[in-house]
Amino acid sequence: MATHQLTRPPAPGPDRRTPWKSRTDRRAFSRLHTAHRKPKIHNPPRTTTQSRSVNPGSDATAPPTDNRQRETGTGRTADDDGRQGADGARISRCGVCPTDGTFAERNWPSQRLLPARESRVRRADRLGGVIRERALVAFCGAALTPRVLGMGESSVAFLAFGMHACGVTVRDGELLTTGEAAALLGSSRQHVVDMCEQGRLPHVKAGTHRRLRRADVEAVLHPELTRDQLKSLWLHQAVAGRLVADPGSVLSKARVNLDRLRQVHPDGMAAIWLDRWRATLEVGVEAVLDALTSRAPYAVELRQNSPFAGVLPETERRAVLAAFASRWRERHVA
Amino acid sequence: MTCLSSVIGSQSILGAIPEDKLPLAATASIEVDIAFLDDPDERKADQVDGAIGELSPFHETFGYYAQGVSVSTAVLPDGWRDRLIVVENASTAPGRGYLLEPTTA
Repeated sequence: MATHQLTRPPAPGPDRRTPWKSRTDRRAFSRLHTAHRKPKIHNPPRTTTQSRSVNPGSDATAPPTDNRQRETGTGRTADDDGRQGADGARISRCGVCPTDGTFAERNWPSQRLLPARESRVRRADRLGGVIRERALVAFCGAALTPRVLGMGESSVAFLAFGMHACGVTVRDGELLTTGEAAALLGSSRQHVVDMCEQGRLPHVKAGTHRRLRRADVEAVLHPELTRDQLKSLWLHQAVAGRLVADPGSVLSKARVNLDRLRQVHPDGMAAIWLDRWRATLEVGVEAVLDALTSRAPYAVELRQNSPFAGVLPETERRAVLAAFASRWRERHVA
Repeated sequence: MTCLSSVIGSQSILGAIPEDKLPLAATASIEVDIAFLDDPDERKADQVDGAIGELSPFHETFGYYAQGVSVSTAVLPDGWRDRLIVVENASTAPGRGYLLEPTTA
């Protein structure tokens, strides 16, 4: 089996194309993507959607292992399908990937993986705006090769999943510099400053420096959901409420529905999305919650092919629809 | 009262091209977008969602559902209403179905 190894990108040099427009942009990009290399004094609690943590003190040459039963260097029990990367980074399975990490490990040795995917990761970063941890994204990107997805080679497909993949690492409260925001937006720092000045991008001042919430920057990248997409989100948020109250029966119902839906839709795009739901269900409750409640394009598409019909009692479903319609009219019909 | 509605979105192609002539990817969809031509406040669209919409008993039973949408959801060229394809047969009686013409959709 090929050794799964997470490598770091080569340092920019005179013979390497540097896509950044300025040193400021390059530094900002670097800060966004290399934070995991530095041991942090303050270790913020993992969010429910965060799926990768760093263990800088571990053996750098260790092959990937199943560390389900042992303690990591951080003192945290790796009980969530976590695995040990070659550079010591502990990697958990991505929340919504249709495969587990074994595919990448087996088929994508790191030397092929990261350099080849790096430019796409950067593009995904620019479009999705939420990628912070390159290794995880590359890992997910490899796991989501066209062979797995059953579709042609397409950077659009990669980007869609890249955006999803990076979505697992977002922390809403994080403040970014204008340079970091520019790197996420794929624009110049001056453009970010201009948007701040024009009131198009909320920000705060720390002394003379502007700081922006990551969620506000991402809002620039992701347009608002349409009415029907938002309505679907409301319904699935209600399903999420049922899921956290009774995961076993809700997931069981979804699996039964999936079996029936796959008979109705044996092929085509619907079948592909249903298979992605099945993979998501296999990952676990938190991955399903993410798919039910996320505004990411991937999740929006996924919800259009929902296997959760019948989870909400009809009275509750009608109540959600009525509440949504009322709320929508309050906000849009003035 | 007459309610004029139309299938819009990807599934409207089924009005112009027989299903067996289309690639699978164009025929298999779990949801069908239904837009009313005279529904400025989208209450009719909401009724569709309530009766046969997402996560409804209809959805659970048959494995597909209708989604009521606004005609403003789709960016359509001028004259699209005049080019709607009409489907009228025993299945649609006593009404008739309208679907976007493929080059419009």
